[in-house]
Amino acid sequence: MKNLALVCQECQWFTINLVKRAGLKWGIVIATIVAVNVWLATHQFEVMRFYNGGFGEAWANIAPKLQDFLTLLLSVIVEALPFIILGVLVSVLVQRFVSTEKLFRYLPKNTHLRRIILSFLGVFLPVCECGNVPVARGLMAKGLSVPEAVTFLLAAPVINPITILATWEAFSFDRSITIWRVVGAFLVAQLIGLALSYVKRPERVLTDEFQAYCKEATHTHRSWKYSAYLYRDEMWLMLRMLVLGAVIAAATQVFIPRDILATVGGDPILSIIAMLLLGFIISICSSMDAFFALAYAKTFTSGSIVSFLVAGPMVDIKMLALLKTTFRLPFLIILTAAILIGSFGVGLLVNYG
Amino acid sequence: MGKLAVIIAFSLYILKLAAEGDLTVYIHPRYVAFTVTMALVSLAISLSILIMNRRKHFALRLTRPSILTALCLVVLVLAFVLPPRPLMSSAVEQKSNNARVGGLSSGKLVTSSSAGTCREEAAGIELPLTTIDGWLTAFYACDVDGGFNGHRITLEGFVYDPRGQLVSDNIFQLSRFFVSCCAVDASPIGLYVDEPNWRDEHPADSWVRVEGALEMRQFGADKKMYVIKDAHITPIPEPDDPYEYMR
Repeated sequence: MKNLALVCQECQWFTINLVKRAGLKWGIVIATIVAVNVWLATHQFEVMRFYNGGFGEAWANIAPKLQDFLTLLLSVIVEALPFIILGVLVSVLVQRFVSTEKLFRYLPKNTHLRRIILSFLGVFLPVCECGNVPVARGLMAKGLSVPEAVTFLLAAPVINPITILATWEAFSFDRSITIWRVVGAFLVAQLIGLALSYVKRPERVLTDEFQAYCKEATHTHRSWKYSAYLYRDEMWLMLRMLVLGAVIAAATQVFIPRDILATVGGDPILSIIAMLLLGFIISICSSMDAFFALAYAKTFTSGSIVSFLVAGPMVDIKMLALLKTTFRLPFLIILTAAILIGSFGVGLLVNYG
Repeated sequence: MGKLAVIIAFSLYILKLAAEGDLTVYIHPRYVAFTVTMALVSLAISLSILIMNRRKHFALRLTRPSILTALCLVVLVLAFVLPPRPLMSSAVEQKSNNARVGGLSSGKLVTSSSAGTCREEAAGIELPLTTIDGWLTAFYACDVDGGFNGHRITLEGFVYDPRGQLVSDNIFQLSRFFVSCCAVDASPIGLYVDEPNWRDEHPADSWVRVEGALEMRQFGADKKMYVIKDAHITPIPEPDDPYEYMR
């Protein structure tokens, strides 16, 4: 698991490269300008209107929307942050105390049974999907077959206590969402694992680099200092993802006209497609995505929310970047398609079932 | 140090909100204790890393600068600089897709016209109710036409101007947001109040306490809603917990 921080850094890198990079200095400059402007506009609002009537009027229309935007944005952050702290904490402690070799030893011999057990491994290794990639790599290096590793990789981010707790709390008004999420993720992961087990020589899907890596042994870092740094790095990664997710969630609620939201969100098929697409693009982690989905819960169909919650942790832009370290591209394309179709099916089941 | 500074700042932000009693602007009160505890834990871990590093040099060595980091900083600065503001009228409009007003959402019709009252028969509802959500639930549970007519109620909320949605200009909406987890899932709820001169005395977004009697009225061809009439309206300061929260 030594590569956890490293691979997460890679995934962070990739996300960053998608958007044009700007220097931190500019970040601070922009932050200051925006803050001063907004402060002026809210606190000295009367003064501004006095000086330029036209602009002031336009501002009077947009200002409440900006404030709602900020309130919603901060509400996602304040709500999700304690769950993220808890999740990172547990994940760091697990890496400190739980040995994957021991877990591995207790697995049954039957491959079908093994896959089922492996999809519940997330209960003991509650790391989010970013952290699962290095775990899966480690498991394969220790001899787990490809279908088994893929089943673990797909199921573990959803079937783990932190994700279930966060979803349960977020959707306290509709408990069925959480149940559907867990059942759906289990089904999709099992089906894909089963299909893969019929592929001859599944090692073909692995990259050459990773096959070489498998020959080397991994050893575990175990010191409190290392754990503390791991906490810091994971928190940093999560926080920035959280802020991005919160901005997008709040912006759709405030700035997208409600007629459009009502039309798309109310359609049983269109809403699923929209949420799957959204989940694929924004790439937020499974420990916080429930609070993100909450922003759409009242306007979008339950099925679309469930398919977002099932597919989101399994595959998105960030996960693809991470998985490319291990799997070949053609396989990843087929995998993505299978996951999206599977989650679409789960969504339909919820909407029409 | 940059990473750590941001993590510490977020913990401090939560503790600041908690100290000022503003956490409920963002989240359901049932999370307050958990949120504060986790913020303290995170702060403790971050500070221990700081102490471990105290002998190292304190060069401000930031990780890869990026748009995401900039976004993080902007949000942090805004969070600290701006006073917390609960969702108000502007959000009522945007979230009107899932609003519940006057007891009848999505055109539910009260069909039974038999005389009678709801006081006794509405099972599971304990009068007097003190929240808008409680009343809306009571209206829903009782399908006797005008079963609550004449019942006197006292409710608190903010003034929302329903503009063109109504026939009468004498009516404003006593409004509140209903929160089940956090402000993101807030949905507007409200009751109409009949008060001819409300515009002069109670501007939109001002907080008021309304005391009055319920009366079921017809709006348009197929809409019946409860309205508060003979209202006595007093301005109040913004409540500590600005929303109504799911129990």
